[in-house]
Amino acid sequence: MIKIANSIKKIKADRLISITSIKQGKKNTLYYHFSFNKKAEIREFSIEVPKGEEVESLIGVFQNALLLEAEATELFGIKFKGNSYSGKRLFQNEGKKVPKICSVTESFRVRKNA
Amino acid sequence: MHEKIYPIGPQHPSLKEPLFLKLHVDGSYITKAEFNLGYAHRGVEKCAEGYFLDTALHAVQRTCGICSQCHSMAFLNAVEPMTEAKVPDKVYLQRLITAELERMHSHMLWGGVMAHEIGLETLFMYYWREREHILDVFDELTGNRVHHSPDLLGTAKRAFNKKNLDMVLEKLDLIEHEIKDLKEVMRSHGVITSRFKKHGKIPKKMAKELGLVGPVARSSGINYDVRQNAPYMAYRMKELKVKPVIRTGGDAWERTMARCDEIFESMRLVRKACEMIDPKEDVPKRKNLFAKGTLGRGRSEAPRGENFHFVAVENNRILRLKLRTPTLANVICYSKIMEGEDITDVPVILMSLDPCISCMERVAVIRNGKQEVWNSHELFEGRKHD
Repeated sequence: MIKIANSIKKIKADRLISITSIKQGKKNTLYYHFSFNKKAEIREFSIEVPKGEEVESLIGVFQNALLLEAEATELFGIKFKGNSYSGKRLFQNEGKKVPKICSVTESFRVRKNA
Repeated sequence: MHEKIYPIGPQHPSLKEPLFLKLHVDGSYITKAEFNLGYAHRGVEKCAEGYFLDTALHAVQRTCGICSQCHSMAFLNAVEPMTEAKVPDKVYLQRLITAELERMHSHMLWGGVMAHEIGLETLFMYYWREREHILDVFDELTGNRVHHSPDLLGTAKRAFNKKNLDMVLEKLDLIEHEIKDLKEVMRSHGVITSRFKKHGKIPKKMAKELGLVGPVARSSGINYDVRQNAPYMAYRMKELKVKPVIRTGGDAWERTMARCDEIFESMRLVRKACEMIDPKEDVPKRKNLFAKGTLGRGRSEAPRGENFHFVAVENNRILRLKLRTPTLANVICYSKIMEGEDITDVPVILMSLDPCISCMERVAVIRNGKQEVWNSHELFEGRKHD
């Protein structure tokens, strides 16, 4: 993918729009969307990621891959080589217990009393 | 001088939405800035999974309270070409009117919050007073002040009639003069100019490298607006060609002025669309439409920039929905532009970027009527067991 990204950069593609991961069964597929030229055409590239394998990060080529890759790591466990943010968080850290939220009926009761 | 760490957020008076900024300061100057996200999970992507396209649209329209219509347009841009939907021009024009009113409302809301951040409470109230007129129009047109939700797959919930359109034009006439005055205050007020100019500067090169979008990119000289570069729906019509506001300075001041000018461009588009729309024409009735393709991509220009929706469909149900909101594209520049600034300018710089955190973060699960907020571990485990 990094070769593709480099060649995209060379032809003056505007930017990386998005990275999306889709899980079907045991297979993860990464979809990369790039914006091209003045008409901002969308070009799509996809790669299949076998379980446990690492994917090369695009940060060296497109800096905005940072958070997009971090999201794929946190939601789907896909690891990216060279992404410093990957493993930090877009979402809450592991191990922090989220306080229990009261159920809908309880919250209504509180309102009535108030 | 020793470097100290100054935390801002996730709950802080200068932040309207939760975001954690860790500022390394030397005296009052910022040497390094880091940010952490993850305090406002919403769950729109997850909500939509497994549902039919028209049902998922309800969730998508509730992604953001301010740019509800723009999310809906991006989703419909992705999904409608997959179906056999024949959308009449009237529906497209109605969508444009709501979207442009949203842009005006968003920029006015932002103008008010910006004024509040620097202590100009009167300006804040003036901006929000004018914004109320737009909310009244939404109430009249769609039945809702926030989360307008006027769209259906291939059609709209109701047709705008003459009374509705007259009200839109009447309200625009009412607020135009006031908005001009408010822009003049923004342009000439000594406090605003001294605090905004030359702060939070984003050079064109940086904006291009980071892939920034919306008024943030346009005020750094990048000529990119989805409505102009890749026109969709009613924006394809010749009469409704958009003239994006491009500025070159790239600082907080330029972003402020860019948004002020965009309000007038939106006004022009709404007026033109109101002229073009046929008030007697009805909109088509709702149909059950089925997707023929499997993957759809759609974009729209929201008030904060480009919205991108990627939809994967399996057996006519959503397999995966990805929303790339403009704030997710712009948030990457936050840490870079803070460096070298004074800590007292942080609220101004942050607000000049107009972040919408709740729009950007979107993972929570509601199951059997109970809400669960998942941490990343639970989220990943939950995915594993699906």
